[in-house]
Amino acid sequence: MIIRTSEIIWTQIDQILNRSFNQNRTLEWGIIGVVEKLGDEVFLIREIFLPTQKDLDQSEGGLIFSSPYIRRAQLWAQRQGKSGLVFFHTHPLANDQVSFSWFDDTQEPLLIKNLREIWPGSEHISIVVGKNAYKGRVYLQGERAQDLMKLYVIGRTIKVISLFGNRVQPPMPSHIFDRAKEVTSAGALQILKDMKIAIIGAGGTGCLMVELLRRAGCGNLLLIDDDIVEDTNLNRLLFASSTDVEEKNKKVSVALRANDQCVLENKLEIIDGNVTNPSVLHKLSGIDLLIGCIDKDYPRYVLNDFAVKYFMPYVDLGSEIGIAGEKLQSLDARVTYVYPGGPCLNCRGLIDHERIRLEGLQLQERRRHIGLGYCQDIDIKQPAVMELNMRAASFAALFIRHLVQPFLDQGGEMDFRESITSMTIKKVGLKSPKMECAVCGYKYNFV
Amino acid sequence: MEQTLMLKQLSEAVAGGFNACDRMENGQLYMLVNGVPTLNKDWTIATVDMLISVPNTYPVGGLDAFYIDSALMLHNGQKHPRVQPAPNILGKSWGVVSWHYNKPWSFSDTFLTHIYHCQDFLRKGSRSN
Ligand SMILES: [Zn+2]
Repeated sequence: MIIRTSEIIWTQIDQILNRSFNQNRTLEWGIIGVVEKLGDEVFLIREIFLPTQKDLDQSEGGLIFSSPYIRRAQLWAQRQGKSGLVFFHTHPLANDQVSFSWFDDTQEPLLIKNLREIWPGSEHISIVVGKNAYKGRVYLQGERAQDLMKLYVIGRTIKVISLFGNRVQPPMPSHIFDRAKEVTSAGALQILKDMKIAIIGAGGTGCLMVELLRRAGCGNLLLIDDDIVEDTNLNRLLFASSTDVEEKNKKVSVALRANDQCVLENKLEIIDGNVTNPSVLHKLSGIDLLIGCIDKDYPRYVLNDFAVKYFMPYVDLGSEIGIAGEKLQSLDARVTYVYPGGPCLNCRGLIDHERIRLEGLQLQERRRHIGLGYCQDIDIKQPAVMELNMRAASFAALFIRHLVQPFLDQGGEMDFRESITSMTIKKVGLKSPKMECAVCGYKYNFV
Repeated sequence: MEQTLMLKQLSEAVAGGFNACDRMENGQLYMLVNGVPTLNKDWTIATVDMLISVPNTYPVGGLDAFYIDSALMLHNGQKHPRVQPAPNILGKSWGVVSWHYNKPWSFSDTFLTHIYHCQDFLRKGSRSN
């Protein structure tokens, strides 16, 4: 099981806990947060309750959270229908190794028991913090405490904190990655290897992302698409053949076949489905990074909404060829990164609600609406070529390396668009900077 | 769209005094509103049936335009210029009304507010443009 939180929340937690290590290293500090379970494997921390001086009893050689402090968090969390609480506390003298003390082992079960009496069915987490190490355990319903594996901090970058209690030395990577270790070190490679990455869309861009991420060392990929291979896809669909067209094979099957034939050790799972189907979307609960390679606006809206709701890092990419009459006007490749606290695809103006309306109508009905002359025809097949898709995919894959081992000078507000016709790369601004976003609540407040 | 949301918004429309129900044809969901008051003496009839197509991406994808019973005429014997011919839907003859919003669909808009918006066309009679 893992925990996920945002950089904004983690910074606040870290500030409190760091007092133990900045000062004379005698006082234990702690903080209570609220957890929310997502699927079977993930706990989210979205709210924390900053302690005041009287909330923590630091006098007895072991930290005790005051009853009113616990009660305040518990009442709020229970009312909001959350799963439980998370208790962080420090062991000021621990450095590279930390473990629960005898005091923790005797006091904690009593605390959990008390909490469950007033809040039946609740599940709680405890994390003990040393200077350079963290150890975590979870009290699931009706079970003994279980070890937690990792805490993902999602923001401008992705930080992974091991909860095993010591500083883990990453294993020596396979020689396959020798020539990439300056860009992605052993530690970062281990993160990519463990991370579960979902690629949504197995078309011209999605198939390239699968290939690039496998070769970057990503170990657990999930590919989702419900389309079959058509002859007009063959100009850009990696590994697809005319036999796939004749046999009406699914795009995901083509990717799986290629993956099985390769010596790289990554796993590739496929889903023949669409994220607009709630049961398919639900399967993304245990995912650590979303990659959107879809050209329809409604599934992109659904993914964006899911990422915003559940603190998921989401890289969305695409390419567009603009035609005016007979003339080629633009060749654009775009990569956008959505993370908690930052603007989403909606406030960046990358989701068109009029298109979503039309996408939701049956073909005949849609043709009638388009016939009224008030909206763009979304049934025209857009031009697409592999080399333009490659520009977007290549940058997205590099950006994912950057997320786990930063190297971009201005990686922050990632919304980048490259124009091949003008040979320029630019960052894209927000569409309606003065309005609060209806999806993520983002208000324009960065320069 | 979610069944519960549809039922909620249909009940709201009914509570608002409209005889609204859901219908499906060829996989397309419609809201049928029977006997909507036309509210203007320019029309030859006092009430009219209305049909609204609902996208399966609703409520993110909003509502726009509507169908009106092809019997709707102005007293001059003409159809309103905004009403264009439409095919038979649910076994009935309709005209499609090119009647749009000048603001984006928002989450506070509902079936009921859309019926009001469509009724505005009727209220304005021959002055609707
Ligand atoms: Zn937003």
